[in-house]
Amino acid sequence: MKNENHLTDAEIQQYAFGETRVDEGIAKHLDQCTHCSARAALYREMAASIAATSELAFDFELVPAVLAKLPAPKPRRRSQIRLIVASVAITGVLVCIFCFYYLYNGLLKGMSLDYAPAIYGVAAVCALLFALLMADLWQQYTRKAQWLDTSGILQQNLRGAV
Amino acid sequence: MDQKEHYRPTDRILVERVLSGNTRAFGMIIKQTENLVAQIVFKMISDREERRDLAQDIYVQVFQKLNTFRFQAKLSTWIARIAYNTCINYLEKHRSSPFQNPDDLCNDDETGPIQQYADENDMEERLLNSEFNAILQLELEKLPAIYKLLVTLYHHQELSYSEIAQIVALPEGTVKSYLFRARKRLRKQLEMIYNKGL
Repeated sequence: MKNENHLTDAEIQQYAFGETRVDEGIAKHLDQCTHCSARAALYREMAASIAATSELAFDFELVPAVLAKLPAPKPRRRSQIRLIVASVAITGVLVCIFCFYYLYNGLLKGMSLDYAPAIYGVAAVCALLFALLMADLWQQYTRKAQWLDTSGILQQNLRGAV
Repeated sequence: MDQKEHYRPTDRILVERVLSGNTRAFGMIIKQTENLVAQIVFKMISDREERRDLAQDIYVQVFQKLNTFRFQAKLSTWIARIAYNTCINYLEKHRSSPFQNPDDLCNDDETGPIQQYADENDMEERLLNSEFNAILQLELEKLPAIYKLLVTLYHHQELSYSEIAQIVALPEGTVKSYLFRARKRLRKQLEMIYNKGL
């Protein structure tokens, strides 16, 4: 404490805004000292007055002004890219199977039954890959569908704003 | 109440939508944050036309930088930081310091004469006067921009020290110290005005 046993301004502010646990000595001093308690009251009044001030707001419609200034939208086409990649991959696998079958048709005919499981295994792996890709695509599709669903609410909320 | 009235997409959903090309979602981000941005711009920039241009620039920047937002802070805090930096850059470009030597303007000497603000009873009566708010606002406007902004963000927007520190890119301790000085300066000015009898 300074100034003829008055509290420091820091102590008064901390007490006024409840920023620290009030020391018993400080609380006792504030009970007895009109000077310090008046300062604390003034700080509280200042804070209350600032808090009660009406919010400053722009005097123009910000949303349309900003939206008009935005660069042309460049949507992230991740799902579209995935779709293309998946299509290319599926086509590639099918072409490979077809080529293999076309070129080695005679070989397959002459092949003993020992090699058949390996061939069917390759085909099964390809089919599995195909299934995984389709599952991924379906997941993307459902996510997009959910977004579209919630966009309806979004548009409703924005009707008054934009 | 209607459930739809409560619907408020999270920061992450809104950002994802904007990044997917949904500009209406960006409109919603603007609506949610423009109050905070307005407090910053109003406290830093006095000219109406400049405020208008800056507000738009701020949100264009937000749109362009949105893909760099990593959700490490609240979206509103991140946007407020961009708003603050944009205002600072603007003021620096126009050779006007946002700090205006706050240390020069504020004498934090604890040894000032107490007796000059002695009449506490009179002060309490005056506190009840509606003029108090107007005078306080007037004195608040006279503070350096950084002080005005900190006081507004803390006491009006009720942001935490941590959030304010993120916005103005200052350590929390500095934010507390500046706030302390700003309030002290305001208090001294008010006491001086009331003791001079207006």
